[in-house]
Amino acid sequence: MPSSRSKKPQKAAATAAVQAVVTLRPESWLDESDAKASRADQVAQRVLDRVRQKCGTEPERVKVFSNIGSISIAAEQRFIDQLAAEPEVLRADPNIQQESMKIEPRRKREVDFHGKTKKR
Amino acid sequence: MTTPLIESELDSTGVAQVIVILKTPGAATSLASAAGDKKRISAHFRSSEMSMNSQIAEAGVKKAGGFLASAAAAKSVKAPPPVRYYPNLGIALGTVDRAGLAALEKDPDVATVTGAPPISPIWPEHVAAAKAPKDLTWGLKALRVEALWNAGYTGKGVRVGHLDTGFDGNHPMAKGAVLKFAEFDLFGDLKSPAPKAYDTDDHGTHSGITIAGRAAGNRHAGVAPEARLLSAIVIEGGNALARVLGGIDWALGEGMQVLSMSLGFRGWWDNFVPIMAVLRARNVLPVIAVGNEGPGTSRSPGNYPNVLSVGAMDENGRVANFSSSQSFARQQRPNVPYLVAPGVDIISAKPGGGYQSMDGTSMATPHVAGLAALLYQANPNASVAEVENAILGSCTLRPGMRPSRAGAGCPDAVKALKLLTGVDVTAKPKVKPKTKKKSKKAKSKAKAKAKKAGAPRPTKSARSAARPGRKAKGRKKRA
Repeated sequence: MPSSRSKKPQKAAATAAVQAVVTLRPESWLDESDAKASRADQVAQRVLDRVRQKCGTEPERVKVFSNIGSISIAAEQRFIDQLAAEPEVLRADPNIQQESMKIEPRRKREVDFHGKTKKR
Repeated sequence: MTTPLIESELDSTGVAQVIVILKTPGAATSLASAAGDKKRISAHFRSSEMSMNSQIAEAGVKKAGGFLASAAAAKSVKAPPPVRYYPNLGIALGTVDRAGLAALEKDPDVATVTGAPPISPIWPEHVAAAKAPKDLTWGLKALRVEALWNAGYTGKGVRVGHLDTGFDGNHPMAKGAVLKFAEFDLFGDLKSPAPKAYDTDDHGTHSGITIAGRAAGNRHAGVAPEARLLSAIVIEGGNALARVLGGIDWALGEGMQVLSMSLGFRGWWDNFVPIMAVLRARNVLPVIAVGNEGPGTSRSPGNYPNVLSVGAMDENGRVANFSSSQSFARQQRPNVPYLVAPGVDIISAKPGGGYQSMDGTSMATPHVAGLAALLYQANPNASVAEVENAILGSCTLRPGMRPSRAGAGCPDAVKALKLLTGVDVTAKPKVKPKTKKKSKKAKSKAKAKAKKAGAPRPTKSARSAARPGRKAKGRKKRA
């Protein structure tokens, strides 16, 4: 039975920036009856402000995905760890993955429209 | 003995065009060569103003009343011979008057004299531009999408999110397919200005054209040839999760109704679970490839219960060996994939022009995404569950397909449309009975009857309105 392999962002030197993707709990920002994404922005800003105050540091870079309630962030590990612990946050994952998501085709060949292999 | 045709011509013009059938085929030859006999037969014919006028008409000179317009015009046209002989056919063709006709009928070498009516073409009843039959890939035929196209369901107005390696917007099949194109950096930020649609690989062009490729001539590779892609580069050049999330976020903001993702991490990764939940909450159907690693494997998010997980089948209706499938310990949809679609030997566009055949669940997924686009056009207000249920409900397991490998089987566009909308595109339309047009005689009879019955005569304006195109005859002003 496969298990969830939610990895925490890699621990590095305390001051080195770590790239992570943080997912907000949908119930904290999503109103199914309202398609507007402004609540995700508001919730993300509120949480980030809280962590700024707690850590006393600023993230290097922040990108809020307003429509899906996620945040791409580059910050100190301590900042990321604190962010992941906030009640509005569902999970934090490392941004850079070891493998590509591309599903390679099993077979590939250049053909004419009727499937005849083209001679090079 | 004259025929009605000859008699009619003689009455109206004094001459008639006749075909003279000679008694022996050799007679025509001998007549053509024998000066004496030829002279005798030829004497029965005469030069005719009719034949002269046809020559003049060919010369482009106006004629008045069917006769020579002017002496000058007549002089400019060479007089045709009164009779022409066709030795191999044994006939002569020419113009005669009554005296000449009588003489021909008595001539010992003449078998029959018959009229020579003008030959006219047999005009076609109906003319339409020739249409070459459509040339469809096997996948499109297997899904029966052409029946939906013929009924007007082409995906028009539907936006499909296409997140992949990119898309070659210059391919002949790509013309008009891309509504918007985007590229994201590793942090998930949108690159600005947005580049023109291009592919960093060939995977994206292939999958994108299968969703919404336009016809190239009569060749079709796209399931929904009028759907519009929101296409973005989210993979290759760095394995960044934020790129994919950036693409999903962007496409959602641009109003996608279907998400086609031929992407996934091997095994189970739950990082996309809340994202897929958000998409469904926003009425977006996520159509995701299950993976190419064979039985007992799957990829995330293609193995989630809240997406439409797609495996691959071949043209013979068999699940492809490489198509992933897996069972999970969960109550909701424990077995993936949920259906299979054409994914072996799939011909689609190649970046730079031309075509490629590819095998993969990445090829099967856009078939289903395109089908969803057709259904969303048919019912724009349908919920994601309704569209998904229509697709799954239309599936059939082909002989030899096991549910553990094929899910519900292969979808059928015709059935899916009927399940969603009740519309059966294969039903024959009712034929209206033909109404008999009244002849002129019948119309005038009816008019006379109405007059007798004392019906008021229609006003002048009413009569004009009943006969559009005819100029009203006004009174001439007196000088």
